[in-house]
Amino acid sequence: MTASQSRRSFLKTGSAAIGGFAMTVVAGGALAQGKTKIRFSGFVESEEQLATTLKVLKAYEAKNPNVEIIPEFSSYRAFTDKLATEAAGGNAPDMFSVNVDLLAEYAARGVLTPLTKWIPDPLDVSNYQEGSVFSCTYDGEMYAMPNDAIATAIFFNPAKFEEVGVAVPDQFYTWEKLHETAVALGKEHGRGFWGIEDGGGNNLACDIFLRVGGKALFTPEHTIGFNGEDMAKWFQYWEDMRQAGGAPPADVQAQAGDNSASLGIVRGRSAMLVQTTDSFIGIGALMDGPLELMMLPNGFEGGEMKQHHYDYAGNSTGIWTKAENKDLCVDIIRFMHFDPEGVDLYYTGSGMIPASTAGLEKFGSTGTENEKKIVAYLRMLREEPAPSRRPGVGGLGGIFRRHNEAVAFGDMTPLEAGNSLTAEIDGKLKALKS
Amino acid sequence: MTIAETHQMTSDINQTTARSKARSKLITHGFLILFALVMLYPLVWLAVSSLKPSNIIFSDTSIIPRHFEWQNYAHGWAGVAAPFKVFFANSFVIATIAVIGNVLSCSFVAYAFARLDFSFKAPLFALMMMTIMLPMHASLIPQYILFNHLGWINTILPIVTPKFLAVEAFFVFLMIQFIRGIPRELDEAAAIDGAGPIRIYFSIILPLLTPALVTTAVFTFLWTYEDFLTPLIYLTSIENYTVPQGLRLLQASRGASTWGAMLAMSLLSLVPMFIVFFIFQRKLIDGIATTGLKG
Amino acid sequence: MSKTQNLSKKQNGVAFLFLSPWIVGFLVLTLGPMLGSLYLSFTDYDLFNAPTWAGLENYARLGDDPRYLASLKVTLYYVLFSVPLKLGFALFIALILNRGLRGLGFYRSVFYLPSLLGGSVAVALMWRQIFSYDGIINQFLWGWFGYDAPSWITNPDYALGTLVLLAAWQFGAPMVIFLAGLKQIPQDMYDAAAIDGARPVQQFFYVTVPLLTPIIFFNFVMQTIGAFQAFTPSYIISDGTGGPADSTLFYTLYLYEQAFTNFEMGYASAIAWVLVAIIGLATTVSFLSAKYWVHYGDEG
Repeated sequence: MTASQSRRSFLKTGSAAIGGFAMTVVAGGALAQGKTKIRFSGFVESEEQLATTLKVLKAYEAKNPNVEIIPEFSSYRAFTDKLATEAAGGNAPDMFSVNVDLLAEYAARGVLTPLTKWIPDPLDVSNYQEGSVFSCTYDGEMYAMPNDAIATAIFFNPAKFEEVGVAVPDQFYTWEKLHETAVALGKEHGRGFWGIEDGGGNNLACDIFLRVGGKALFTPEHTIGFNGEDMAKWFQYWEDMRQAGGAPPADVQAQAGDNSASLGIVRGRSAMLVQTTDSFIGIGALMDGPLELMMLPNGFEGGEMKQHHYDYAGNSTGIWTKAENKDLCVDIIRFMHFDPEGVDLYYTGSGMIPASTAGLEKFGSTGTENEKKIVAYLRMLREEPAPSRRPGVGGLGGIFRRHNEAVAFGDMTPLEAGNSLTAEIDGKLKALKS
Repeated sequence: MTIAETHQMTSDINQTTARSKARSKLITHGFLILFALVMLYPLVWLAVSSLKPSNIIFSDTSIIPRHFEWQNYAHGWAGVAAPFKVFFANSFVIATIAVIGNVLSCSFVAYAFARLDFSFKAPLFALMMMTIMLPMHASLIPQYILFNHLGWINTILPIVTPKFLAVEAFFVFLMIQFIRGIPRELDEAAAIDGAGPIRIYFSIILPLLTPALVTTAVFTFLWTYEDFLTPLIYLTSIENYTVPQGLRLLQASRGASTWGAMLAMSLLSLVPMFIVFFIFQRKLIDGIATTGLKG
Repeated sequence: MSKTQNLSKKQNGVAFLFLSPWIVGFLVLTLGPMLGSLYLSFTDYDLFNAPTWAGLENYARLGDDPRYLASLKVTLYYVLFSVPLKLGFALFIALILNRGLRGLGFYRSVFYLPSLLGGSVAVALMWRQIFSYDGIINQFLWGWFGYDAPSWITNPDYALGTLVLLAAWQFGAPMVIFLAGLKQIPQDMYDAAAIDGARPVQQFFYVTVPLLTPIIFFNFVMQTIGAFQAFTPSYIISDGTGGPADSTLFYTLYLYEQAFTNFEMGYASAIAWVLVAIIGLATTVSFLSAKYWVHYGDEG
């Protein structure tokens, strides 16, 4: 269906409504006859990614004239609300994007189809980074195809270190060293500046913190991998950081919210930020000077490469359980991920780093300056990757932020927050399994 | 403006005499203009920010633009998935149909509640009020199931049909209050001349209801135009998106270059609303002047 | 509301003709989803699998849910402060604008502007620009008084306050309705009052205020219902998380979170129906009180 056809039907329904005999009008898309329609839904991670996604879908349509793909995109929040409503109403899109936590929720509740039947033919993931496959796996089966590879990192503004002569930590350093560095930056820059944005509300950073102590957020069996005391240590770490002036007080930190525009690092009031690499280009674009990447503390100094970082799929594409044309959906995924023409259209200029090793190599050498920095970072992690992030529960970020804020504003002690968070996540996991 | 000054204003207004009328008017204008500046600040901020390059929008807080990034407008207008004019056209069509629906249906229903006597009046009125007490997130899914069943997904029917069926109790109640403000002697005089309820509605009530009708038209337009959740759920394909949905396409979670375009289109999206408001609010004054309400 | 009409005979035929759009709309579009939601409030429903009967369990849970109780408190506070402030503002400005000033259209449009902006991202960014730690207000306080003020929008002690302020700032809708109401007051009434020797102040209290009471009542009831259901303001300062520290966790936001983030639609529906009861109670009280202070022109 072309845009003009669709517009006609759209307006036709409009004029029918004026006439008042609206009841007889059928859905707008019905005019495009004889084509198999696939609804492809997702969230906008970046304008570039949206553009290349639309491009690759158009290319698929050109090659398959009897297939019509209807792209349905919106912002993340809008997308999740819409998807939930549609799935509940029995009218979900045939295929849609998910992230790790949505994947677990939707797989456990039977909304996503396991892809096992189509692996390895035509979806051969043997060439894919283990972490990205793992993060698309739930209960032993793969439920989505990883679109990109991302990893947790500390973004830092080197200019803010140079200005006051504080050294950037070495490749391997301890959590104590991070504390010292952040506090020193805050002290040297004076009022209204803090070394690092408060990371206590960041569940990904916490996962790496836990791994230093031999634990993790979730076990491979999809159960909780920590206890209240572990979490109390985490909240205590950031409480000490705030008290010492290394991280902003609670009210200043809360300004950052979900919005990259409000981040301290963008506004020039902090030098470091814990984030995932898929935000690197977006945040970099809001800043005047260069932005760099480094690992979080691995809990030791110098020595061999035995770090606790891993990369995983930032977003991935899955298929609705009740989709009528699953094979066709799989073929669209195949085109985007394995057909050389599709891969080229989908990834070039998208800002996404492909999850396959070959893709990483290919796009690593052609990207922009900041894309190259991400590729270099991911390559380094892949030298000796830690076991990847495991699917957890939805809304994890919100739960962490809420508890970290409770500590920061003095409403809870770190131990209270640790216990409360543990109970809440445990409860959600159990609800998911029942 | 401090509270003390405000009090001063109030007493000025109250003690207006012929002698000090001019002075009082001047003070009123001074106050209003000052107040208008406070109200306008956000728009100025939005306009200035929409012309800044992305890398300094949020680090440079100055309200005086140094150079103009008109590219933000061109970029946003062209859009990635569909040109923005498509979203404007869709919003405009939907909002216009909604206005017609609400003005007609709500005034019908309001007339019955305000002027006619019928069985179960009080319980029906209570029921109508109850429909606006349930938060819309709670009935969203049952409603979706209903509209999906009717085959209305990806059409404007779920958005405009309710307007023809007086589903928005806000406007019904508004008109009830206005109709009840119209002296009953007018109806009674017409009734003596042999007019039935239908004629009274068209010849007496409707003309005198102009302020409420215009208010309903304005708010229906604005609130339908800027509504996000309903179009989000029911208009699925991008060519059918409305303006707020179009803005969400520019709201990338990890985006590199969309902030300027997003702010530019945010500002632009206000223009039709402002024009509609400005035109209609004139109508509000004219309407009164010509009907020449007599008590 | 039918007390003045008891004497006339019922006009069921013509009345139901006028009511027919609403009756059809109610039966076809509104009633089903409402009953559906009421039913769901007695079930365990995760959106994707069939609901299972849970009896009163969801309602029983409410009393032990600290976040629910917090959201109730936040919302009551918001209703209590934002409604009178917004209405007071709206009425005050409407009265000034109703004096036949030149440029009325301009002022009215400008004053409506903030309401046009609604809860958009632009407002969110701008609100931060003003009230944040490094915002305009604090730059002023630091620059002129050397006072290191907190971040007004993200300090739990003040965050809700700035949202009340935001509500007052967006007073456009009730203002327009007040103006329409003022326009409807017949000039004759003022003329008659003037002949009787009433001064402007007396005209205000004996003509304007009584004849405006139906509109004041309308705005009061509707703004109260709207404030109980406040949702978008929380996006202005917390991106819809209800933070900082749940200080702006509005009632409907918590409902939404339960329904769409936690997939607890049964519980969310119970939360919704308790709100219906609360709003219903508040509205009933308002209507009962109306007898004593609202004067309708049709009552003679």
